[in-house]
Amino acid sequence: MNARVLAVIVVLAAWWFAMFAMFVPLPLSAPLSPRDTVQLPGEGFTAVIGRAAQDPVGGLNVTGMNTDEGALQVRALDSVQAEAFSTLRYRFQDFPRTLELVLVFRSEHSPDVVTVTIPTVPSGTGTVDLSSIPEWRGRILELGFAQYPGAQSVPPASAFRPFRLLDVELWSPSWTGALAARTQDWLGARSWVLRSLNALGPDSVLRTGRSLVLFVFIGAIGTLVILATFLGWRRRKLAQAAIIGSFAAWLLLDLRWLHGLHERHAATREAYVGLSPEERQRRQPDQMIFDSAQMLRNVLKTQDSSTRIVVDAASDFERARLLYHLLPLNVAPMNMIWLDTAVEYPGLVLVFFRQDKPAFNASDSTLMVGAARVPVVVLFDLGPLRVYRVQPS
Amino acid sequence: MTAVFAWLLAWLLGLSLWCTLAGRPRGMSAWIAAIGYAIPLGLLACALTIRIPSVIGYRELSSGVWWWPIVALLVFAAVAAWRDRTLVRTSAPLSVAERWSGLQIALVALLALLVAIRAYWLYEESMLRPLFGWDAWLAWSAKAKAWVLSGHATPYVDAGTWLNAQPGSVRTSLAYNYPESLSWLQVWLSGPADTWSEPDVNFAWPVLWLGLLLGCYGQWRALGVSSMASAVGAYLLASLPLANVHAALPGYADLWVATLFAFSVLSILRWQMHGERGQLLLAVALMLALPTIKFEGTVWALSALALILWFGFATRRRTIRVTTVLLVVGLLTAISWLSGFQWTTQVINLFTGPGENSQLTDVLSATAVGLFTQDNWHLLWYVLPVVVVWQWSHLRSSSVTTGLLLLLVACLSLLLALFVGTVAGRWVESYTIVNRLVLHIAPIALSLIVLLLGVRREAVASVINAEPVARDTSH
Repeated sequence: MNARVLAVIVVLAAWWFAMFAMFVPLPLSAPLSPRDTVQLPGEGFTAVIGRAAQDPVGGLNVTGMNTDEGALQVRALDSVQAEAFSTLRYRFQDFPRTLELVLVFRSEHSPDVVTVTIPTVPSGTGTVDLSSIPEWRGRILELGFAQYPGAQSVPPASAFRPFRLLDVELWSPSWTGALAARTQDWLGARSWVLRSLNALGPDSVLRTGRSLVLFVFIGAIGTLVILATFLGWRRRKLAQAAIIGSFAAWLLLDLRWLHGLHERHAATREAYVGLSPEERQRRQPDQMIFDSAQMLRNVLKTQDSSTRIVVDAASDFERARLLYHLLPLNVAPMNMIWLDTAVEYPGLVLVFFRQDKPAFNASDSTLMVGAARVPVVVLFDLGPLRVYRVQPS
Repeated sequence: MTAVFAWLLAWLLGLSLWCTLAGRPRGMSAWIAAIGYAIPLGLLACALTIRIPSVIGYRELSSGVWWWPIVALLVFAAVAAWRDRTLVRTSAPLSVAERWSGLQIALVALLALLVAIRAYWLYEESMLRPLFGWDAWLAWSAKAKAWVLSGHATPYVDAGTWLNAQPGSVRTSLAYNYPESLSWLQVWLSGPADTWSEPDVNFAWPVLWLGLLLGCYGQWRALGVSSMASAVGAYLLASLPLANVHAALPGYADLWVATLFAFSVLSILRWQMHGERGQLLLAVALMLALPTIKFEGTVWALSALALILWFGFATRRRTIRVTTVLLVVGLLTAISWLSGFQWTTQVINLFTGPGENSQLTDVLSATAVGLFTQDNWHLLWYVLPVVVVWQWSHLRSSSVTTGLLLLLVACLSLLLALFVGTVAGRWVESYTIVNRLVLHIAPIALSLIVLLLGVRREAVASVINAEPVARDTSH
């Protein structure tokens, strides 16, 4: 091997080391492997919400989830100082892709429980850089994991399957920990969220601001410059190398995207494959809203199909989804009509979903709208759903 | 009517539209382009056809309305056949078959495999998952669902009109004034199921995505790009992540706008290069469809019109060209505003609406983040400026690539002006708008790269130096 080639190899190695040091980023003052670790076997966790039992061979078998609250497994910690441990490693077995995984902890600093959504790993080891979580500081009192159906994307009925929490480790700062966390961030599975249609990257959990695309681009540019400089490439050779290098880099990014697409799709298959088209349309991520809409149809089925219905809910999402599920009823959103206008139209049906206001006065069957009392007839009032018909004043 | 029949009908109608406007395709690449174009053309033609009764006051969605596109198919097929007999054919197109080496075959096979795997996942994702996107169930699909389930295409109006009109005679929603072609398209796709069927409707999006790949491949070939470069370009287009997302999670209008705009521009480029009037007619038809999909479609349609004018006045001095383009676009915009077209109202609201405009630096940095560091575009926006600079002399020597670059710069400038000068900047900072608008122009950006790197210049020169293109004498 001649000296020039050797120099190229050395410079390239230095360049890519610098790239990793900058983008991972590598804690240069830390050792290669963690000096201190805290081992937390799965069987040391306790189910606070949902059902779980210790497995005879180790780990915690989580066998049930509360429909509304999900599942939660926690354990108390003794003398764990957050600043001393910057990496969380966690191992699950058969973790469903349909569940969101949330890290839960309490510290001396914060009386409230801190929740941070972390990447799911169906089987194998997940790694999270804890130093990217602002609340991870002080003495940690309690640590655990919560699971919920994927928000806005997984029907609750299809979300849960039993899984096992094998073990958890806390690592002191190290190069291997930092690399593992960045690998998880760049190559780990992600779920579909509404934001995915607007931007990829911000739709992932634990956004840590290190772009793989930028890493690949700058790395490739630096590599080209080094090769051209040391090997004396002329314009044509440089152009050829640039085309091949760009294509190779694009292909690598695409393979990574395809891997992510496969993981997202695998989660969709877990939730929906095997169901008929009709059943898939009935199993909605917002099952409660869908069921409420069906209940409302039953309430209103004796009414004229042209009856005008104004809908309000606790959030824009719930309102919009309820409107969609109620179609083809003649519905309108309250944020177009406004309540003080709607109550001027006798016969109009008002629907309130998960809303305490306006308050209903049963003694005179009126709704409190501002300072006014609007006479209404109660059509339905149970659980999250309240339905009234406006009466003439 | 079965779903297969409905799709076949739409595709044949689209193909007959292509043949009517641009003549029967000759050669493999031309057929690929026509097949790609036929998907959006046919689906939108079906949507337009079944909409006609409601436009003239018959709002019942009777079973007979599903058969109207057959009438349209018969008409356009007859016109296309007549045109084919009268058209004087040109010499062989640029898309001459080339021999590939073993390595090239292996590369294309690998890329085709990656596209095929992806296509399967996108298809299955769109079929399995219920309608997911916010704008889908808030706007376009909501109208379609209401019409299909009620069997009546009740018009949508503002809230005040809804409250004071006869109950049941009108409907309202937050998107009451949105263009309705996409909703009517979904009504068409629900026809075979005779009810609101999201899988049947969602299927259109991955199919449209495939159509975009085919249409671009075929048009690049016709513009002189080698088969290898076209194949690689089609893979690069297929690999754009945000385009994949819009195919996998159906319901949004952005992939439709991107496809129609790209097809319109590529047809304009073909007209400029070969003088094919049929391609110009295709471009105009697609341009006219753009505003019926989404409000932004009007802006892109005007941009495409500007490109036509730019090429049309090629022999004039630059000052006259620029002035003519600006005057015509300005005049059309003014006419739109005076006529009360919704898109002008929306634009004015952006400039005058409540809320403060964002800081320039915040908007520019959010835009840059969306283009260069998020996972939406791979290396597209890095590669584009490098290729433009590197191939500058080639770009300047061709009116096609010069025009395409000017169009791209104009589109990007319009986007930046929108983000910086209006309250839309807030949506940029929250990444809810920037990438979806960029999606509209991403295929033409990639087309510029493909044209600059992949055109077989000796083939282009031989055509340009050959006998003049014979004109369509049937008009």
